[in-house]
Amino acid sequence: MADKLISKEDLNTLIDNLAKDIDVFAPVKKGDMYLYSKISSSKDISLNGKNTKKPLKEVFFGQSEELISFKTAKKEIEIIESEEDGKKRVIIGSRPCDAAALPILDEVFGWDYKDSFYLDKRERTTIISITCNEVEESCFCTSFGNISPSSKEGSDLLLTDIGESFYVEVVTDKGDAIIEGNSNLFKKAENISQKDKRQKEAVEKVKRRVELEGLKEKLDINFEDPIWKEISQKCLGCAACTYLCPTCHCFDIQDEMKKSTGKRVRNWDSCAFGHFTQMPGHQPRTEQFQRFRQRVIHKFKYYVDKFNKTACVGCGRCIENCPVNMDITKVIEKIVSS
Amino acid sequence: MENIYKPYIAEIKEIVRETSDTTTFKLEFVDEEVKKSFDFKAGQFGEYSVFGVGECTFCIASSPTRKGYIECSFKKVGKVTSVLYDLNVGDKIGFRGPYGNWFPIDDMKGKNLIFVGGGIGLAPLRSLIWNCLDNRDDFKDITIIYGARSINDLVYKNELKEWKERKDINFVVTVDPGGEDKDWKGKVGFVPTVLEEVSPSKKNAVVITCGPPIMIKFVVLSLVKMGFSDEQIVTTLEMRMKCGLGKCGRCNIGNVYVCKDGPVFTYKEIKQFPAEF
Repeated sequence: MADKLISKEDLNTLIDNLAKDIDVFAPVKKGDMYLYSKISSSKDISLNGKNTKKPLKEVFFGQSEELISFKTAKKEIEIIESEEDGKKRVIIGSRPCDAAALPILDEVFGWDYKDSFYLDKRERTTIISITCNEVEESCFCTSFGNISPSSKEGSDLLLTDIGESFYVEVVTDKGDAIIEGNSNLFKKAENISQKDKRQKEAVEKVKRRVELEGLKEKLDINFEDPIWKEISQKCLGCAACTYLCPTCHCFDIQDEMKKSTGKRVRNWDSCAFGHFTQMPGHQPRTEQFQRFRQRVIHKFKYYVDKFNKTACVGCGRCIENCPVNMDITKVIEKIVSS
Repeated sequence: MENIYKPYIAEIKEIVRETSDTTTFKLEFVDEEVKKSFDFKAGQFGEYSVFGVGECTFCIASSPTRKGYIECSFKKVGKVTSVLYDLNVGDKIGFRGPYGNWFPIDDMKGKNLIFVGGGIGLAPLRSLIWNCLDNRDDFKDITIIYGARSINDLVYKNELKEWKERKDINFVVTVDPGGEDKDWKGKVGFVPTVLEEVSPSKKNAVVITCGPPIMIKFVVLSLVKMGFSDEQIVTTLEMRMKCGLGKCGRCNIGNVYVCKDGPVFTYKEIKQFPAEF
């Protein structure tokens, strides 16, 4: 699995070839934002844009996803299983932070009961990430040891723009299979120093950093600390942070019915909402600070305790998109120094 | 890969109106294979659904010793239960399960069992009670203390009568003050108070309790006062759930998913949780 080079032109050819047979997803500019979308031509793709508004999780765990459908007739019910189309898929141009979120999601969808919807899509998808050319002011991925603008965690191939070509690092067999299947487009790797230089530059562009040392130990004991009220005061409970988070995975299950046919769907949901835990006559989280606390502790303690992984990759979307400028890095700083 | 969200279809075979807003369904799986092979343990729960309306979570209220059917009891409180409540015998619903852990019945063998229930919280206890009564010789003394707000709020009335008459159970029933009528022969008083009056011995005993959160809280306080250890107190927690499979995140409390790691916990385990209950 030796490194390769692919010219920019040949990458376009690769994308166009792939899009003929399989589903190709890539960042696409839509209005003033970028979104991972299914593309039919390399012309649609935007590899140098800003971070996508929504994270990569959507390609594996849809915002609204059918679980079963059914027909009812008098007293009879017929369940129709929602089948996946089984098509191979490729993602081109995912950010390394988004790719790094996938092994985190794999834990929850794969532990104990196996979630076929998520795991099946994971299985048949190859992820080709790209070293970030531009980083956002809100990016703080390098605060996590294994993640950076050029990290390979969760990716099958990693592309780095070295001018005329992309330097291609092979991470997994899945990634290698893409090269094998299109070997005429790839050349022997050279210019490794240029690749290293571009990656180093990308890492250095990430200015925001949060010190995570001591955070877990604080969260182990600070559940009842008054600091939670203080740091969450601004929070509106709008849930933008959870919807746009690449590792948040909480969902709701609802039925939709039209005449005699219906479907059961799961929709992204959020611990930021009061109704999330509302039971008849009992609500364990009546105040917003309790919901805010749940989100932070879930990411940086409960998930760590259960799966030995932090459920944050530093993509910065929650900072970028919060309507009241809540900043998770500041929140962490306050907790650590409390 | 199997679709873990696909329910079995079950037919309502019998309906018992327990109170003005609480009902019990006897359900049989339509698929003969499922009907034959379905197995569960007392304390486990399921996701019951009305197709086109949605799913809701409650325990299996019948005993695993009674094969070929399951029962569930629920209160009409929300979107799904309100529709479920109005269904008739012969109607079909969805069921996913059994989910979660169960009461540690093997560890209870050879012990004195004390059941303390309140209102509809008797449902999970009922599964275990009949499980134990169907294997009566495996257990020593069985005490059941059950209470509700008023006479009208008592559930499983026929079974309460049966338990009262049995010589191998010490059965005490109570209603909250003001909930009695002039013919009431049971006790009048809140469950924790009656528990202290009955004062069962902590020796070689396990207490299994379920009811409204506020009742459980005071029952536990009484038990601690009476000298029971935290390990001797077992309860089953209610937390809003959707998937029942440890995925959807809703029932997460502390390091546990109530749907996977629970719903049955000892008081010792519950004390480790953050104070969210």
